[in-house]
Amino acid sequence: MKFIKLIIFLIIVLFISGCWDRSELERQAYIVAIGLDQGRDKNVEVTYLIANPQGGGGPEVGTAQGEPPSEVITLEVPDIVAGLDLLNATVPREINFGHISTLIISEKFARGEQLIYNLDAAIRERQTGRKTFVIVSKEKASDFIRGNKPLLETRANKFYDFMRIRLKKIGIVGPAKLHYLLKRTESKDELFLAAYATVAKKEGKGKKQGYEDDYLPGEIPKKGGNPTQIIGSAVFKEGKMVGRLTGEETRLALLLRPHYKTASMIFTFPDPISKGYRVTMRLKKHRDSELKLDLSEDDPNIKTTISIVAHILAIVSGNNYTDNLQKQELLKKSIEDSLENKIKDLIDKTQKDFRGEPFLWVLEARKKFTTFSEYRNYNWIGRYPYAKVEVKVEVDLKGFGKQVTPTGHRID
Amino acid sequence: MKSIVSFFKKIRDVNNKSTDRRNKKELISSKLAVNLNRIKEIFVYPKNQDFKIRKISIKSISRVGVILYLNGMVDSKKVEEHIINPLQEEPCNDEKLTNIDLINKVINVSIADEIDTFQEIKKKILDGRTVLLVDGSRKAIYMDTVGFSYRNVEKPTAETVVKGPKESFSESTQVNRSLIRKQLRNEKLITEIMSVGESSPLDISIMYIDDIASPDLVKKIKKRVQDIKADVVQNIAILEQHLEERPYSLVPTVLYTERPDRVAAFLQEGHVVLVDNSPAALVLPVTFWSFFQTAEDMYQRWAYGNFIRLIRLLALLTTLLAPAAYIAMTNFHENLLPTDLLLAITATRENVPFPVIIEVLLMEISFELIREAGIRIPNTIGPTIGIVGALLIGQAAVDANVISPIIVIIIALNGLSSFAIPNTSLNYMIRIMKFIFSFSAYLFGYLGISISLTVTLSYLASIKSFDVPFLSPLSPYYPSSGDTIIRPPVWKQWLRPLNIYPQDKQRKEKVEGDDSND
Repeated sequence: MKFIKLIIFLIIVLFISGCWDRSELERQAYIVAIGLDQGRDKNVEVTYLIANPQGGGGPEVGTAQGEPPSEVITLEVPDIVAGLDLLNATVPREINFGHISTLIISEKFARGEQLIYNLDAAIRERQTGRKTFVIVSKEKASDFIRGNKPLLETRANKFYDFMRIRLKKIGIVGPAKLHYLLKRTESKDELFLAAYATVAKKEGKGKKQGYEDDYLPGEIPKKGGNPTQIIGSAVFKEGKMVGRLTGEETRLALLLRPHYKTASMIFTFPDPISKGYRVTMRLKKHRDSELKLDLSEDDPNIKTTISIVAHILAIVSGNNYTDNLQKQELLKKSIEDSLENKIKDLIDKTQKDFRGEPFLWVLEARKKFTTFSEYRNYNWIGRYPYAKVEVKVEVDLKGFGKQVTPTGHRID
Repeated sequence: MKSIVSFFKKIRDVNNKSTDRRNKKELISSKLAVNLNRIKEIFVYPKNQDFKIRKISIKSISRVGVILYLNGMVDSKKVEEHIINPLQEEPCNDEKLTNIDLINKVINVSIADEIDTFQEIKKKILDGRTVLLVDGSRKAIYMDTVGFSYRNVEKPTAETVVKGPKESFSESTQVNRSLIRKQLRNEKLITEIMSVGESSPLDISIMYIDDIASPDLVKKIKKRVQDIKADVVQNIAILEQHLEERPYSLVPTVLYTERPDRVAAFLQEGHVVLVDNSPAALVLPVTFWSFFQTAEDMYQRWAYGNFIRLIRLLALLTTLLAPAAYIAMTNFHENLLPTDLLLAITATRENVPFPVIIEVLLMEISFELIREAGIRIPNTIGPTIGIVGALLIGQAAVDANVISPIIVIIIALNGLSSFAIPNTSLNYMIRIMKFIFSFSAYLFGYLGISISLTVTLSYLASIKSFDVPFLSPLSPYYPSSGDTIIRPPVWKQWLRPLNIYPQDKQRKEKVEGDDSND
């Protein structure tokens, strides 16, 4: 009898229980990237990149011949989320926001007031993740998404995912998560570095000699391949874009972050002996940099020491920096000076142009105060532009590669 | 009302009568003819062709006697050589010889004794003994001549090992007990015999080590065996079902094992073992770990033994949770999947007309079908079933867009894992429970899985096998050698698991270098 009661109870549970959240995978449309542009009046133009599971690649069973890998739709709506239902006017599936991995904002929109409130709306929707990669495009976001034609990746999401991971590793783009943007906007004391990108219209036209990383998107002398260029950062202050950094400046900004570590950044430096030549090396930062803050005076006193390990990759001039210790010392000194000068320029730029710092020094500064209100009263971001900053770079020449002496090297 | 009362009265009367008849002892008279008639009546003699009566004149005491036995239950050569020949051939002419003297001096059988009731005679003959009735004596003699046929000792079929003894129990109590004693040469190893079943009793040997097993436990088990009210208990497998405390539960509380070495190991920990003419023995009380562990875990070296245990734990969890996790993931938590995997699964699902739950059930049931068919199918065509099943249900179903390929992977993995669960009872339990888990995942996603898991774990923690908590010594905690999910090296296992309440708590003195169990 008890058993029968239990069975009846279980059957009732089956019928009254809710499975409202349940939906089959194939009945959903997965948006993998979203673009934001300024629309008419206060509207925004939202571009949705919807992945097509059957489009290209994948197992034989799950591939539909001739279907494109993604669908791009642009809608003009009051905010990001408002378009969810309207999208169903053309897309027959339930819209899923959970897999958005990239957010593309046009520079024009990013410099406006409206951006941060729009992002707020997106975060309010529970599906969207805070890990989203933030890219600022020089042109309209819808043009960027449509113009991006990755040749190696078929699936719509993969290009952005791989780019995010790779760029973060080499440092020409910072860790540009949406979470950091929101966090730093709220804290008001830090700058956020979003990835900066463009779909270059003209190929191979470099505006200047930027060597290995000193470019803004669109400036790289490059021919062929995907027209997209993602390099450098768009600097955000209080939820608004206020400026930009080149790839090199972004790298230096990251190196200045006390806890930032990197396994590989390829840099070139002018050869101290043979003018016009450059020495290529891979820089590694394994250790936290030393950071000393003195906040006792009106203007903060900042001293930081960055220790870097350098591996020589190429010496095009043929100078023997490997055997000759005096030359090595010369090279080391020149690298340190070169880095210090560049960093000084960057700090000047942040103090004068942005009036804020993206180096996360504020986290260290915050530790100096016992209460939050004391820290607030100190007004870090207000004082930073007047701070005295001393930066010291310590380079440790370590690796010389498999070939130690230069092949055709002159005897000296 | 009256009629109901009278009905119950009648039932009680019938019950009383039958117990009376069984309990009444009928003594043997001194007249051979009277005794013989009674016995013929008991065994329905002329009709029953297997019942043999052979008259002999016993030369040594110059009297007439009768030898009684059941054809097929005795070794007839033994009866001839060791009973009939000596009785007939050795004249001694001493009329004062008693039955005892006959046993002592004449009969050449190792076990023989006197009995004096018809009940005993019946029982002995049914057990395969030969009974000798002597004219003028109020006692009968039974002689051990058991000779029914049984299988040789063969390799275990369900609990195979790569390293370790390869003997399994056979269909003979004698052989089974000898296999156990061979493994465990202990003078305190006791065998007590009890019979179960009323109309055709079954002899059960209860074995335990006298100075280790808890006396309360032995008493309780003996009482439970005694309390079994059944007409016939055919063998150990049926006895298992009579013994267990929760007949409707999915969880087994008695261990059925075909390995004498496992039985010996359990005896040494203070468990009690039941043996009869079945190719397996029952071990009780048991814990979850007894079902989860295998003999090989202990035979393989420490690292290898623990490795296979962890693999089996993984297999157990996969069997239980893989389909449920897949259902939950694809129906509720698609945002948990990496985008690439999500798109890959979605791509293959786009042409499939069924929801995930139907897909899973379809494949699960097909797999269970293959499995059941594989056991029932005659041996000669056995191997084909696997090929047919795999080909037909796997590849063809995918090609026909009835199911998605990922389901085949999940069900195949799940099926393979289920084969790694060592004990048949535990195996069935997990396989039935996986459907419950799949269904709760279908209803509530991971919330449903966690609810089911919580309920399952609480239930396992609450049940007991002969007063021993099922998850002990892990939970509730009892001192033990820690042989649960993983095991310590053999030299560290000096402590018996105290959840079985052994009288002697240590196997040996605590060894130097072992800092556990402090």
